[in-house]
Amino acid sequence: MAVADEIDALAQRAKSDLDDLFNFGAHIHLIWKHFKVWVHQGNTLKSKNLRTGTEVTEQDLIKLYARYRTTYLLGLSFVQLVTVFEAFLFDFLRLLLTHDPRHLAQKKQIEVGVALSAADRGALVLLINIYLDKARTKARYAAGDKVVIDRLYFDDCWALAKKLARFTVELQTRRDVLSFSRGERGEPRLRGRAGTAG
Amino acid sequence: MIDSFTKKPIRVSDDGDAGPYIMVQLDQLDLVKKLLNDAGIRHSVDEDAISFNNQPYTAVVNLGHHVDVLAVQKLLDENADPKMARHRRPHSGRRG
Repeated sequence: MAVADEIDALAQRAKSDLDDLFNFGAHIHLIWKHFKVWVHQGNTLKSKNLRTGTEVTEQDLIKLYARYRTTYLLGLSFVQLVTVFEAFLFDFLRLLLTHDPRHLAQKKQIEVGVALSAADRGALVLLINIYLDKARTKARYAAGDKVVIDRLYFDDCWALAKKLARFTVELQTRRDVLSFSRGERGEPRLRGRAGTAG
Repeated sequence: MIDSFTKKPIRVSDDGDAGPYIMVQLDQLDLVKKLLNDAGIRHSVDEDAISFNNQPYTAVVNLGHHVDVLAVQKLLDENADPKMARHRRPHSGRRG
């Protein structure tokens, strides 16, 4: 089935992106650990910004690293992680809707368009759930092995898409909380469950 | 040109992914920039100069991928830092 190959390729791409992101974090941390060892061995470093004249020493950098790691390295990596999931989910949905358009059969095109471009994440999840639930109840397997297998395959894919949608929205919510708390500390928002956010 | 700290000729390095670069002591940076500017060679200087183990600050001058490395090396070899002239070797010559 061609769509299975396309989904496999999509999954491989997403996995590769995730591996890349994981390696980035691991390698940066490795460099910092090596730097700490290097400083512990008695080496010193001074850096002077030629424009501002600001100077930092190796001790300053070591003190700064805890905050850099939490706020930027992990924080921005998490944002990138969400982006990978979003990209995978929407490409996955596009493939499913293209190859298994049962859910588009009853004047659903506009609603899907809304869903795929929805700015409101709560609405997006709601729309996807409505589609998936309707699709499941309406699914009628035709006689003939290939059709049955195809339908089962797509039903599994849709079920996975539903879980992924929930997970992705949960990640998006956490990303927003993270971004917000970084910009304006002490005024939390989006504390509710993903489905009720927005 | 002789490095004011190491007393060795300043070399154009070509081992980085970002293209050839020159590591130069901060007190010689202006002179190197003037040489490159006068020769019409485009370059940029890293914002941060670095000092290891209390040695003098070193700046990195980036030359870009398409620069003629040999021509820049020749330019450096043929132009002595007036402050370092007495340290210049008799046959510093052209370096590969």
